[in-house]
Amino acid sequence: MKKALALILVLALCLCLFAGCANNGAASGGSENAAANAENNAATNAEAASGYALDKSWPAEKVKIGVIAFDTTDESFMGVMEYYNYLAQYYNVEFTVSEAIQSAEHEFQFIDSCAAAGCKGIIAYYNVAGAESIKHCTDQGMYYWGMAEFYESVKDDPHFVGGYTFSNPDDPDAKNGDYMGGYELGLTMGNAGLKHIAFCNGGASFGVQMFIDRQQGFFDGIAAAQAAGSETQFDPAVDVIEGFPDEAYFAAQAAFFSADYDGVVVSFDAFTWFQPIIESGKDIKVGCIGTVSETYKSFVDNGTVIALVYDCPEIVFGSAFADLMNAITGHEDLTRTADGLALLNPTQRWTLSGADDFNAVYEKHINDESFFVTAEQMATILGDLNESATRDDVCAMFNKSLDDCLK
Amino acid sequence: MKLAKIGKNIGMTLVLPAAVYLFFLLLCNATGHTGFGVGNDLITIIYNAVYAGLVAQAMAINVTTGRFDYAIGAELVLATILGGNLANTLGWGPIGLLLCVVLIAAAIGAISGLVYTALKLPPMVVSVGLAMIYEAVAFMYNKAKGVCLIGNPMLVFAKTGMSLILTVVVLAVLVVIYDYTKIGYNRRALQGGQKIAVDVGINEKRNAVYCYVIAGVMMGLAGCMYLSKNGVVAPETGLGSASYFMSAFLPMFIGGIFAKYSSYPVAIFMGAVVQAIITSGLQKLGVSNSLQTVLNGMIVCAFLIYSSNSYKLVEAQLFREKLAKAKAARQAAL
Repeated sequence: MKKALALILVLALCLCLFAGCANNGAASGGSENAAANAENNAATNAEAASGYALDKSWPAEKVKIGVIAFDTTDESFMGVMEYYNYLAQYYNVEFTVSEAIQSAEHEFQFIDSCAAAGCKGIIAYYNVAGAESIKHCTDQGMYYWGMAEFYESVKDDPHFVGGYTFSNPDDPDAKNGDYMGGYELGLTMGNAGLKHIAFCNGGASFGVQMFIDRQQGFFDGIAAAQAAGSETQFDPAVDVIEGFPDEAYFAAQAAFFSADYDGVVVSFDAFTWFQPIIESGKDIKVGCIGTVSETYKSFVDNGTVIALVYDCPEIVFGSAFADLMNAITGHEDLTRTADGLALLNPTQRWTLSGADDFNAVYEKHINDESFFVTAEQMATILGDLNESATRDDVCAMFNKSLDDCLK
Repeated sequence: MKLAKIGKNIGMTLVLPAAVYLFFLLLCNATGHTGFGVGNDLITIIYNAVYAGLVAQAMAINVTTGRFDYAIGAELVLATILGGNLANTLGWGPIGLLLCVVLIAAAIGAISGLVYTALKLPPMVVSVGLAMIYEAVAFMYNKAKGVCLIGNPMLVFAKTGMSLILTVVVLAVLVVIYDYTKIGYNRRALQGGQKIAVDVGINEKRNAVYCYVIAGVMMGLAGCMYLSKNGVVAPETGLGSASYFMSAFLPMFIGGIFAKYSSYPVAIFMGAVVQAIITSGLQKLGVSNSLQTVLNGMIVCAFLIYSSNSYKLVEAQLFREKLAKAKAARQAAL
C-alpha cells in the first residue's frame, strides 16, 4: 500500500512538472476550433500566396522551440501561447514552455533542458539573466529571440535573431514600451475629465525596472495632460498605491474608497479592483495594462475601464515565429540588417480607449477565434515558403496599429 | 476569585489589540493622518484580520505538532477554483459556494493527511510535493482560467457582518474542538511529546488526518473570503501559492504567547487583529511597502525571540521567589 502510494505520488509529481509546460493543447483554448474553422479557406489563400498548403508538412523535420515565461498563469502570456499553439496547427513546430522562472539559475536550467531536448530556438517572453542568458543559449547552438534591453551587447551574435521594440530604433531618445504604456495611460486618463486619480505602481517600489518605467511614463503622461489644460488632480506623493494585492494593498484600497477619487490607473491587470468598485457603489473609472478577455469585456462595455494598454499577441510576439523559423531554415538574411546585425522588429503597443476598440479585438480573438496575423499570412514572410519575402515584409507584417489591422 | 481570574484573562486577551489600536490612533492623529480605524479602514481591518486569522488557524493546527504544511496555499487555490465554479454552475448562491469550497477543501485536506501518514516522510517534503500537484490540477482545470465571479451576488463573505458571523462560529467550533474534544486533547498530548503520547495509546495518524481536514476547512473558508473580496482567484504555479499563507506567521506567534489567557484559536485570532491594525496603521502613516516589510519582519522576529525565551523570565521569577523565601527563612533562623 505504502509503496503503491509512493509510486502514484512520484508519477503525479512528474506529471505536474509538465502542467505549466502546455504545448499544443492545454492553454490553446479555442485555437483548435479556430484551426478547424479557418482551415479550408486559409489553405486556399496560403497556397495562392506561398504555395504552402498549411498541412503541417513544413518544415520536414519538426522544429522544437522553448518559451521562457515568468508566470505561466498570466493572461497575457496565455494569449501569446494561444497564438503559438494556433500556428502549431499549421506548421511542423512544437513549443515547450518553462515553469515560472524565478532566478537566473532557473533560466539557465531551462535553456539547458531545451538544448538537451533538441530545441532549435528560444523565445524570451521573460529574461532574468540578461545578456548572459542569450549567450548561454547561443553558445549551445540555439537561436534566441527576445527583448530589446540586451540588444546592444549581442546584436552581432549570429544566433541572436533580434526581437521586438516599441521604440523607433532610429531615435536615440526614444523611450521603451513600458514607459510609453504608462505615458499613454496617464495621457488618456488625464484627458478623460476625471477629478482625482490614483496610481497603482505594482513592483516599482521593489525596484522592478518594468514597473519603474511604467510609473515614470504615467507621471509624465498625466503631467502632459495637465499642462494641456486637464484639471485632473494627481499628486505622486500621496496618490500612489504601492505593491501588489496583499493586506497592505487592501488597506490602501480602503483609503482610496474613503477619499474623493473617481479614477484609478493600475500598472498591471486590474482584476482586483472590479469587485471592490461594485461593492462601493461608486462610479470609478479604470485604466490599466491588461488583456482582451471575457473578464474585461463587461467592464469595458459598462464604461468602467476606459483605457487599456494591450500587447496584441500576434502583433508583438508573432515576429518571434517568423524570425526563428527563417533563421532555422537557412534564411538568416531575413532576420538581419544589411551589415549582418540582428534586427529589432518595430511594433506597436495598442491603447484601447473605449468599447469600440476593445470589441474590435474581442470580436476577432474571442468570437471569430482568429488572429490579425493568420497562419497563411505568416507563410508569406517565411523564406522557404515565399522566395520573394524580404526583411521589410517581415517588419511591415508586425508594425501595425489597431486601425491598420481593421482596415 | 474566579471572576477576577476571568476578568484578568479577558483583559490580557484584549490588551495587545487594544494597545496597538490606541498607539496607531494616537500616532495618526498626532501626525495629522485622519481616518485610521474607522469607516472603510475598519472594514479592511476586519477583513484582513478574519482572512489572516483563518489562514493562521490552518497553519497553526499542524505546525504546533511539528508538521509544517506547505500545501495549504495550494489547497485554498484549488478548492476555491473547483468549488467556486461548481457553485456558480449549479446556481446555489452564497451557502452553496461556502459548502462547495469548504467540502472540497476538507477533502483535499484529508488527502494531504492520508498521504502524510501513509508515506511517513517529513511533512515539509510531502507538503511541497502535494502543493505542486494541487497547483498543477488547478492550472489544468478550466483552461487555466481559475474562477472569476466578479459581480456575482453569491460573493458575500467579505462583508463585515458575514465576516464577524464567520469568525464567531469558527472560533466557537475551534475552541470546542481544541479544549473539549478527544481530538484536541490528543493533539495537545502529541504536541507535548509524540513518543510518550503514542506509547500511552494515542492514535497519532488519525489525529494528524483530523488536523489536516480542519486545516483544509479553514483554508476553504479563507478562500471564500478571498474570492468574495476580489471576485477572482487565479491558478498559481512554481509554488506561488505560498503567498497565500505568508500572513499566518505573526498571528501564530502572538497566539502562542497569549494562548494561556484564553484558548489557542482565540489568541491566534487576536494576533491576526493585531497584524491587521499594524498593517492599516502603517498604511495610514504613509510608510512605504519596503519599510512595511522590514517592520513586519522585525515584529515577527521580536515575537519569536520573546516566545523562544519567555521561559527564562519564568525561571528568573521562580528564582527570585525562591531566593526571597530562602532569605526570609534565614532571617527567621537568625
